[in-house]
This record gives sequence, C-alpha cells and structure tokens, in this order.
Amino acid sequence: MAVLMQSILSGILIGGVYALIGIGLTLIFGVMRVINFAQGELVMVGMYVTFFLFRGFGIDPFLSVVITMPALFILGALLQRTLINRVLDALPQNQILLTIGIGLVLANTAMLLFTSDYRILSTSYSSSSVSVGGIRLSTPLLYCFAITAAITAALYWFLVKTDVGHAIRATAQDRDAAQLMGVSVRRMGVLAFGLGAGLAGAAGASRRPGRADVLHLPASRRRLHSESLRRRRPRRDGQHHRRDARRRPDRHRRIAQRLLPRVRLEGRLRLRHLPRRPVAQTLRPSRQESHVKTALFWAVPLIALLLVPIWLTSPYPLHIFILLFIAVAMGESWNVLGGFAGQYSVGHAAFYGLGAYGAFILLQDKHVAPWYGVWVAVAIATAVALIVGSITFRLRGPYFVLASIAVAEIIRLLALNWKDLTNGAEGILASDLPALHFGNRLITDWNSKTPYYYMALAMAVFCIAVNFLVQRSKLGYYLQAIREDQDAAHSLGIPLTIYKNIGLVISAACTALAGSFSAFYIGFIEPQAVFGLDVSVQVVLICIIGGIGTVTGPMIGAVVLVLLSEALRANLIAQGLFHLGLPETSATGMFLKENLAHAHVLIYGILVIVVILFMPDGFVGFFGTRLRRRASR
Amino acid sequence: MTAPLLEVRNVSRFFGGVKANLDVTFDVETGMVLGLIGPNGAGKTTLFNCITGFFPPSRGEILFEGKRIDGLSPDKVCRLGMARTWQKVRPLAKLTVLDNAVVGALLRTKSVKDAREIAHAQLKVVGLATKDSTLAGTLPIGERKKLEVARVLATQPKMILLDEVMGGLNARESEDLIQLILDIKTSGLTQVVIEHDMKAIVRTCDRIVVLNSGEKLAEGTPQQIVNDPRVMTAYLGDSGGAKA
Ligand SMILES: Nc1ncnc2c1ncn2[C@@H]1O[C@H](COP(=O)(O)OP(=O)(O)OP(=O)(O)O)[C@@H](O)[C@H]1O
Ligand SMILES: [Mg+2]
Repeated sequence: MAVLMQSILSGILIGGVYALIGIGLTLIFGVMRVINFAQGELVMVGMYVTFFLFRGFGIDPFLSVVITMPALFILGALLQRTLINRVLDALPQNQILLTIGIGLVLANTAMLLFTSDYRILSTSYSSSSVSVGGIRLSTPLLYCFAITAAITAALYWFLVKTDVGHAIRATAQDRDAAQLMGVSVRRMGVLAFGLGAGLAGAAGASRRPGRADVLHLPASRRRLHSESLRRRRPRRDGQHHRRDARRRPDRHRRIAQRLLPRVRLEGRLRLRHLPRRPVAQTLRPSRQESHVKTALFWAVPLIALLLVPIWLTSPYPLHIFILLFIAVAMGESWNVLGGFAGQYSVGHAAFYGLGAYGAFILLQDKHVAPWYGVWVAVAIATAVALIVGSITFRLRGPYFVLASIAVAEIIRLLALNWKDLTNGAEGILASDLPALHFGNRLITDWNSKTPYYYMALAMAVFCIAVNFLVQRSKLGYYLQAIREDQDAAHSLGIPLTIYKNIGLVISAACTALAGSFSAFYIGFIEPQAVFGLDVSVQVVLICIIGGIGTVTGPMIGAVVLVLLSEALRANLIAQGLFHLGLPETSATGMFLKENLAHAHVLIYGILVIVVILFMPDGFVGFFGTRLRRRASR
Repeated sequence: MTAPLLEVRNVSRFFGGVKANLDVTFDVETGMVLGLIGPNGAGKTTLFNCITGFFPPSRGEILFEGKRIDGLSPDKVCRLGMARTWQKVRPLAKLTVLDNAVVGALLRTKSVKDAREIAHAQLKVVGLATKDSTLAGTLPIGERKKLEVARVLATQPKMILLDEVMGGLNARESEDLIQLILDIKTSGLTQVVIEHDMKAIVRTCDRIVVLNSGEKLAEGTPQQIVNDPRVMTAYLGDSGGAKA
C-alpha cells in the first residue's frame, strides 16, 4: 500500500515537470498550429544552462529558473522570428520537418560542444528526502513540483488577466478574427513560441536535479551509435577480411581522399543528365516515341553502372556506390507515399528496421537464408503499414506524420527491450551468409563487394521502376490528386483511405527490402541504428533535397546526401577549409578536424532547415524553374 | 411517369446551433436544369455538401435513382453518377489541365490512355483543349471554373451539380458558361446549378428552388419565381445578398 502511494505521489510530482513541457507545446500549437518537435531539445538546452550556471557560478538549480526561463524565452522568440514565421502558411508537414531540423541542430550542436558524456549535478540536498506519514518524498522533487506549480499559476494569471494574454488566447481561437481585431498574429506567435520555450527551459532547469542528476541527451544515444559504427567500420570495407577488425581506419581515409574526386565527377555527370524540364510532377504524355527516348535515356547510365565493377575493383568506390544505391532505393520508396500522395512519413525507419530485424532474426535463429527471409520481413512491414494506415489515414491534418513517428519509436523501444528476440541494445552481428546457388551452380559466396554491388543496383533499379510505373498508372494520378487536394480528389470518386493505404504499403514494402539489404551489407544492426529518428529524417531528406514527387528527385537527393556524408566521414570538409587558409593548428581548426567527421546529423539538421525554407521543391524544382525561366527569356 | 433522378426529402443540416438547411424538399427530373438560388449564407453549398456526401444530413433522406445515398461517402456518390464542382475552385494545381480531367475520367476506366481520350474530349466541350499542357495552378479564374466543369464531365456522370460556376467572372466568360450549360442540357445531362445572376438562371433553368436561411422559400418555373414577391423580399431584406 505504502509502495503504491509512494509511486503515485512521486508520479504526480514528476508529472509536474512534464506538464510544463506539455503546456509549452500546447501554447505553441494553439497559437500557431505548429507542432514543435524541438520542444525536447529546448528542455535539453534548459538543462545545460542550469548545469553551467551551477558549475560556473554556483547558482542553485532551482534558483536558476529565473535565468533559464528568460534565456530560453529569447531563444524561442528568436527561432520563431527567424525560422518558424516563414513557414506559418506552408504545409503542416513542412512545418514539422522544420522543427525536427531545429531539434536535430540543437541536440547535435550541444553534443559537439559538450560531448555526449553525462553531466552530473549534485547539490547538498540532492539525496535528502522528507517523510510524510511514512511516505518518503525526495526534497528536490518537492521543490521541483512547487516551482512547476508556481510557474503554471503565473502563466494562468498571465493568459486570463492581462491584455496580452487575451490577445494570445484570441489568436489561438481564431487567427483570422484576431487579426481583424488588430491583434498582430505574428507578434503573438513570437510570444507564444518564446513562452513555450521558456516553459521548456524551466522544465529543463527543474527536471529532477536529484537522484538522476543526469543530463539526459537524446544526442548521447546518437553519439554512441556513431561511435559503435566507427568501431565497426573496418569490417565494412576490406571485404576480403570481413572478420578482420584491425585494419587501420587511416587507410580508408587515404583511399577516400584518392577516390572521392572521381565519385564526385560521377555525381556531376548524373546531374547533367537531368531532363530539361525536370519538374516532372506534370505527367508527361506517353507517346510512343517518348517511350523509346525515355528507355534510351535510362539505358545508357544503367549499362555504364553495370560495367562499373569490371574496371573498379578497389572496395571503397564500390562501397560508395552501394551506399548510393541503398539511398536511392530508400528515397524512391518513400517517394511513392510522401512524394506522390503527399503523405509525409517521418517514421520510415520502422519499415526499414523491420526489414532489417526480420531477415536478420530469421537467419540467426531459424537459419533461413536472407533471400527467403527478406520476404517474410517485407510481409511483416506491410502488415504494420496497413494497421497504421487504416487507423490514421481516416484523419486529416498532421496525424499521419505524428503517428508515423510514434510507430517507429514504439518499435524501436520494442526492439530495445525484447531482448530474447532482438538482443536489445547490443544488437545483432550477422553470421556469415550462406552461399547463393542457382540449381547446382554457385552464384556467389559473398566474399567481395561485387555481388553486393549488383544486388544494390538491382534494388535501386527496381524501386525506380516502381516509381515510374506508379507515376504512369491510375494509382499515380490518384495519389497525386490526393496530394494536391483531398476534397477535390474525393469528389472525383477517389476513395482516399484505400489509395493512401495502397501507396503506404508499396512504400513500406520497398523500404523493408532496402532495410534488409543494407543490414546484411553492413553486417550489424541495433535498435537506434535502424529504427532511430535520424534514419527516418534521412529518408525524407533524400526526397526533399532532390525534389518531392518526381522520379529523378530522390536520385539527386541520394547523390548529394551520400557524397556529403562520405565527405564528412573522410573529413574532406575540414581539409577543404584548411586548403582555403584556415590554419590547421588553430583552435577552431583542431576542433573542426576532430569533430566534423561525426557531425552528420547536425549537418542533416541544417540541410533540412535550409531546404524547407529556401527550396521546398528541392533541387529539381529549384533549378528546374530557373532553367526554364532562362530558356524562356 | 418515371421516378425523379434525385429526391431531396426533408433534409436538415445543423452546425452546432446554426441551421444551415432546414427541412428542404424537392425533386430533380431527368434531363432538367434546376436552379438553386438564395442570398449568401442561405445554405446552398451546404445542401450540395449533403447531397454529395461531404456532410451527412442531420435529418432527412436523399435518393438518387430511387436509392438512398445519404450517408454514403463522396467517392461512392460520385461513382453512382453524381458529380459536383466547387464554389471555391479546387484545381489540382501541380498537374496539367489535361491531367486534372484525366483524374476525373479514371473513375470509369483503368487505362490512362482511354482516360486521356475522354479527358481531351471534355476539355474540348468546355473550350480548354488548347491549354491542355498548362499547369492548372496557373490558370486564370475563368478557366479554372471551366476546368472544374470539364473534370466533372470526365467522370461521365448522370447528373452534375454546379456551384456558382459564374461567380467572379466577367460578362463574356459568364456568357461562355451559360452557353456551356445549355449545350450540356442539349446532351441530356441533368444539372443543378447554384447561381446568383438571375438573368443566367432564367435563361438556363427549367425550374428554380429558392432557399432562404436554410429553408425552402419557393419553388417553380422561372416565370413564377421572378414574379414571386417573397423572393424579392428575401433578397432585398438581406442587404449584402443581392449580387445580381
Ligand atoms: N463547415 C461548416 N461549419 C459551420 N458552419 C457552416 C459550415 N458550412 C457552412 N456553415 C454555415 O452554414 C450556413 C450556410 O452556408 P452555405 O455556405 O451553405 O451558404 P451559401 O448559400 O452557399 O452561401 P454563398 O452564396 O455565400 O455561397 C452559413 O451560415 C455558414 O456559416
Ligand atoms: Mg455557397
């Protein structure tokens, strides 16, 4: 009984902190209809501010709320003024992506600056507690609850009693009406975001500075992951020594430096092959001659790619190509749903990971060869997709985006905790792949990169073909109609839920396929690496960089993203800066050299923000319209 | 005599306390053009939304070809052969004019090729054939309205509901659309048109239903309606209402 009461009371006390975060979110959503995905990261910033105030000036964590809240208010207002304000009238999915981008930038900047080590903060009363009627309550938790309650009360007073509070609530109820009454909606937005951030800051400041005493960083997990990836890296390269983990990473760096220019050139060549009117969202008439032309247009690069492994035998460039093909396959898969139907999924990691785990577990536990296991995994992903789709596609608005994120997260937690099946956070290392036979003939024993290369190429071509077929079929027309205007589509006889589900299933199945393949290629999976939000964001990024709803867009996006992340890994950017005159031995130089290689996610975040703000139609749209404008001049 | 194509029986639709439609009853016979008029906010668009399944009626029945359709989803209603245009036009902005119509035509065929032919024919009917590769989002308002009609015709319906297709158009464009409605009438397709312009209504309609504050105020031939004093008061009583 006492235990129960104890838990309930502690729960309520901790709940206070979450209430602060929640009120902040609601305030922002209420006033601006923007769901702020960076709220958690703002809490994190609040924690850091608190921590450094304590460390540097010995300010008690609870007192520091007085500084943390205004500081976060300013940060929030600034974010709103400079970034969020620009997308208030944009699609909700773009707003969500923008806040996700902001979150990634905040989290990963913090990680770069402060490293992912846990910071521990202990005060004189950290472990003290008071006892009420046999129930012990920790002192910090009590203080924390008191502060939370005080802040909530103050906020209530502000919203209900003051003029500005009235204006904020008016804006929340009806933006247009408020505007007509002379309320500056933009100003209210800034205020609301500032307040929301301030509350997050307060929550961060007061968040259990007692026992846990730990800055819990979303980023820390990511760092751990990239750390473990780095440890594994050697295995990815020298295929002839798949098991030899002692190859020196420097060597790869050297190989990378030698080979990257060539890869880049390839990238540029492909860019030049763009169709002259690349905004292919308009469906091109399917005349016979244009079929022939299209076929020729794609046949040439395809044949070239088929020949690549014959004259390129060193593993690194093949590795890059394989990564590229995987990225293309994933982007094209996402595009079916996000691009054509306009239903943004920010949870495709769920399908990617299900593909990976499904096939891996089948091989490991049941000795099912991957080329059979994959299809089981694809079926599982499809089933999950159908469940999610049937529930969320009935609702309009950003629900699908939210649900997709939630589902990926739930499955990640499942994978993390269902240790019997998944081996938890330790992940699974692939055993050797069984050799592939066709009849009695040995096709491959997977001892070099070449079979992987052809498999990846086939997969990418398959996904591109799926997009082509979809685009030119009734399905494609219907999905695009849904993207453009759901009511119009509905009134023209399109059953919305069914078609969205078809799009989702195709997309999920292809993504699961790509997930299985890339898991076997890398040879190791763990929950964060395959189910993490950054995987989902990366897929979306491939498409929005290239251009959503076009077949060429994801290919361009994949080239950009893969080359960028490889350049980061090989530290080419820091090298470039040194070439441009940045002294290598300066503090900044050292810092960049040390850290830039692990900053992918940060760079992704920045990319998301830039693309959403400045080229929402991606490269294809951005350069396409420019090209056409020039042509018509 | 055969049963009416569309029967609206005691249909009411409430939004909270607002009675957007109250106990509206009328029939539409095959082949006729029925005019639906009334001041702003009279509930005309709401009635279209009820008939085409966007809002189920709060009360009452709607029968199409003798079968109940109230409660069906919009796509099912459209498949049964009733298609509507939107007062606030809804072009599929990033698709071409032709592809907009193709989306409509795909209701009756799986083949994109066939759909293209149907779509092209309907664009000719409304006079947009020369613009077929323009992006719909870049059309001027007059042509957007025509595109709405072409798209609806492409679904090969038995009946179309046109919601203010002349709203916001200049005299010449309106004249085009009046001709279009008359042409469609000649082809035998049943139409219900919402319009504020009385001259256009009188020229095109066989029968007129007048709505006021959600209720049916009057019904009759154009002559009867024009001479009905109640209709005049309804319009003049609502100062902002009489656009005509
Ligand atoms: N979705 C809705 N929610 C709440 N009220 C609504 C909704 N749709 C319509 N109404 C209300 O129903 C009433 C009738 O509106 P409706 O749009 O049907 O009028 P209308 O006759 O088409 O007017 P107009 O000539 O301006 O197009 C109005 O008072 C309107 O405010
Ligand atoms: Mg209306």
